[in-house]
Amino acid sequence: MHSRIRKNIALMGLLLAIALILSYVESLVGLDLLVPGVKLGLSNLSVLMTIVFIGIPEAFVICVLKVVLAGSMFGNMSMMIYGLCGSLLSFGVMAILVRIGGYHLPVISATGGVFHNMGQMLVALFVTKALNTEFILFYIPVLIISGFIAGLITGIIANLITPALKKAVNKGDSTS
Amino acid sequence: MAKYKKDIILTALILLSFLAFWLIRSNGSKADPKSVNIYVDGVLLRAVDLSVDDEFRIESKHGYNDITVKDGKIAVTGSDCDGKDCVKTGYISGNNGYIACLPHGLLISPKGDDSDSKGGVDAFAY
Ligand SMILES: [Zn+2]
Repeated sequence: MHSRIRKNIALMGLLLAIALILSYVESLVGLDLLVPGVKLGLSNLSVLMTIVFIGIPEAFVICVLKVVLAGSMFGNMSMMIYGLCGSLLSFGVMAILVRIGGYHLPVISATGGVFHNMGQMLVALFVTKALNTEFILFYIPVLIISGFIAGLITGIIANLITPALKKAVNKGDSTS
Repeated sequence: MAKYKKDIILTALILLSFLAFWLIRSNGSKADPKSVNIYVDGVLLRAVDLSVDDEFRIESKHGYNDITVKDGKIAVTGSDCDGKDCVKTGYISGNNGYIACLPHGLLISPKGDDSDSKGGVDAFAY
């Protein structure tokens, strides 16, 4: 029992580190989607893996830590607020899909990606009075398709590393 | 195939909503390529004629944005905002997009976007 918990914590640390690296890369490459501050959310990979390997509450922890740490290390306050809303909405939707069951990782992740972008657009609507109807209509299709594709890629990557990670985790189980 | 039934339905829903919004968007915009409106906090600050080269500064309680108009295009070329996303957007003309500086509540948008957002209402009404 204790070794299980210890292993989960180690795994969460690893996944959080991966999330931070991906966030850093994203901030460097400047994959902003025309809408200022909207990021693709490649670091969702870690949240996805945590849902699969450990559980939904733990994934929530990773999700919040990832945004707060990445925001304070190589971002700014507004990036943190946008990221938090996008990530939480995306996390919520992915968690619901996992609970319902029958969905596969790439599609779960792609749906998460769409809501990640929508969440950021929602914050932009609430924190500023800048955006008009036309702007939103102009960007919604862009946000949907880019979120979908980014999420799909993330999900496919998650699918590819899942067997290896599962093997590593199970191996540890039998020896301890 | 049955194994992926839920996946396919969800994917189809997302792609359909993308298509619907895409159609609304391409129906809606008949903007004048030669002028844009500048809004701060949703209030129309000035209309800019892009055929006249110009440089000016927009100042508000949030901070400043330096605007450059050149060769029928407009850009935010300097700002004291977080992230400088408005500057990174670069040059746009009157019918190919928007520049937003969210920290400063600033939006540069194609003319034809009335502040009463008449175009948007029409797009929904049809
Ligand atoms: Zn700005």
